[in-house]
Amino acid sequence: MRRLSRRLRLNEPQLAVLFLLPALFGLAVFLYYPIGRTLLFSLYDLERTTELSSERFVGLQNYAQVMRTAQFWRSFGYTLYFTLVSVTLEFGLGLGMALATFQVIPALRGLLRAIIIIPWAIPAIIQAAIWKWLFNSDVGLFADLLLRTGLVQEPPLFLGTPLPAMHSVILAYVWRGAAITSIFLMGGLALVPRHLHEAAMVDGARPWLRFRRITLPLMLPTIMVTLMFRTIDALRAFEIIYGLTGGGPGTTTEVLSSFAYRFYFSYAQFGQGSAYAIVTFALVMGLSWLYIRRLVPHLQLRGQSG
Amino acid sequence: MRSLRIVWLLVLLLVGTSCGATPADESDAGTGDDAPVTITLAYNRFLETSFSDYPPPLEVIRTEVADRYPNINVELNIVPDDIGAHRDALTVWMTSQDATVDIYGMDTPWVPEFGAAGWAEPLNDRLPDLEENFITAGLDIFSYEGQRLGVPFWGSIGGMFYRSDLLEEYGFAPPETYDDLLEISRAITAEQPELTGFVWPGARAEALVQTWAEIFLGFGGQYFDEAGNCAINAPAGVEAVEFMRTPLDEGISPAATVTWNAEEARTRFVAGEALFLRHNHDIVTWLDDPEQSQIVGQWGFMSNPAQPEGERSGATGGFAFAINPFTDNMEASVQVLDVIASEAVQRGFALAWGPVQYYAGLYEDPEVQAANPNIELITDVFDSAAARPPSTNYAQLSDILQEELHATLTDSKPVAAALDDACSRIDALR
Repeated sequence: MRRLSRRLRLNEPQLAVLFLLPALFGLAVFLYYPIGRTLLFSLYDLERTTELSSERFVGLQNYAQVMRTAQFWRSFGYTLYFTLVSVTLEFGLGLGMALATFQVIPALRGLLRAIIIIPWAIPAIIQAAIWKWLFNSDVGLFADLLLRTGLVQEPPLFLGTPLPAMHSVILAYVWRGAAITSIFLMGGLALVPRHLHEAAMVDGARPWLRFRRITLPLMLPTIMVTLMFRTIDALRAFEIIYGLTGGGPGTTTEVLSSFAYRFYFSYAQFGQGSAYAIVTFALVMGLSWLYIRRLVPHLQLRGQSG
Repeated sequence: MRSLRIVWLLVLLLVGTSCGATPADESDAGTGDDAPVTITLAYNRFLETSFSDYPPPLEVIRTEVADRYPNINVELNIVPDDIGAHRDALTVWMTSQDATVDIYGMDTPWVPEFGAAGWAEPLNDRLPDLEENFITAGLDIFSYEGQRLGVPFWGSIGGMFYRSDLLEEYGFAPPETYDDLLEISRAITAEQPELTGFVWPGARAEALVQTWAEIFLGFGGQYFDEAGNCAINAPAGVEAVEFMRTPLDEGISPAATVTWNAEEARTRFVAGEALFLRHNHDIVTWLDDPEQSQIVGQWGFMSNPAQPEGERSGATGGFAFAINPFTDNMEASVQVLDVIASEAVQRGFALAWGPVQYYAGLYEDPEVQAANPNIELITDVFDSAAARPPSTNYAQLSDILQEELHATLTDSKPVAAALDDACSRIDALR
């Protein structure tokens, strides 16, 4: 690194800037520019066109419409519930799976990790189609199992009644999300020094105590980062819900992202759609900021004293 | 200085790789009269499917185009079967003024919106012979403010299929009213509990709007009052939706109906498991084919029932091919559309898909008649043709109806509240 820095006649901070340039360029083109453009669109009455020059500037009217849309706020409530339940379940399952991979014999470890990652590798919209069949009340696996075991007399309507539909969607999402949560947490577990566990075992500490006093505190930064990523992902969840219930029954599984989607791609109302997108973005940003505020004290960054 | 040059080169490289990549020379398509041109049609997979022994429509189109315009190659860009997803794809292309597709399938309710938005090339001057060859009513469905916007190739209408053998066995005539339908269902399913009374598409999708529109008009409802305000929450509208809930509440329709699209409802009827099916007419083509149907010779088709205060109503649907006004190949697109408007291609649709095509005199052709033995069943049903609520914001209006109707069918909202909410939302669209 120093040699490269000398050859380019750059000091280390300048070299760091050079390395950051490609990423900054990508962020500017694919993230900041679209965000800026969306913000601009949201101030115009854009219908079936994105030509700002020919359309009317409406200021914050589109935002006022968002605030007045009762369904948007109901969907906000559902999105929060969906996020809370799914991230909690994903974390529990993901942690369990991650711990399991460290308990099996090394020969099986790779296989187990490969099995765990499979749900993440399948595209969400295809998973939605698979789950739709599993939840089908006539020919689906779950209804059949419940009927055969005598737990129910009539096949349950998993996707046709509000409460089961909400939780069916969560189950499908958790199945996928637990896989990636587990992969994140495996990384954290791998960083826990083995000698600390060995020393605790010599001292007679039982497994639960070792987990609580050694594993968990050392994994805390990884856990916080994982929870932040999974929370942001859950707040933006769309494909699997759209594919599974289309937002139904009624509007009970309608999530925030569906508003921007529909106003953009179905109604071609780009001004209103942009206002929905910006409000959704602000809500996700706000929650992420809360997380990051909690996360930073647990992180030891390079250059900070330990 | 040297380091600055390196940074600058890096930026140039990134910009170059992001923006410089262009598809291999596509820009020469359409230059010169005989230069090879590819015209892309956007439609679902059924365009390359035949429901009979005759070739699929796409094959007929390609043969006829090759015959008249050897330089034109026709490709199919397959869009989803789901009507909403099909429409979303078009919305993205049109708002981006994109030329990915040259010609696309346009559904009837989209006409006012696409016409107002300028998303379909006006055809009056480009295909002046349409009037001579097509039944005017068929062209009118795809017209906006006096401009023909599409060449129809398939029209549909909703109606009621019933098990003629079972009705006869138990001494019932086909139902005149929706009350009759419930009564017959109750009586026969009491004798044969393994049968389902009435199957219909109740999922939150466009087919629910079609089904509702037919029942709503059958109960004497009117979409809008004289002042142009939404009127679906009037007493007739409430009765119509309460009727839709009755078969669900009584088990005449399975509870899972609220998750069924048209295909899932049809499957039960075709398998001989149901007495009545609300469906578009098109399955008359193959319901007597023993390879596809278990109720050969045991079914009938009629216009939907209606209460005494309402009118028998079948929601019209169907597709026309329209030209993308942003196409790079306007001349060739018009030529292909002209071929699609020819008797040979329209006949190809009638032979492969069955009725309805609006080409004048088509059904006097003995071969078309032989391929469509059940054509006479449709004639009466077409007298009940009715449109879904017209709107230049149809996609939004349809979503509102789907959401509110589905909410009340799934017990998330009382009927009156759902219809009041639907009306206030529909009125806010204008």
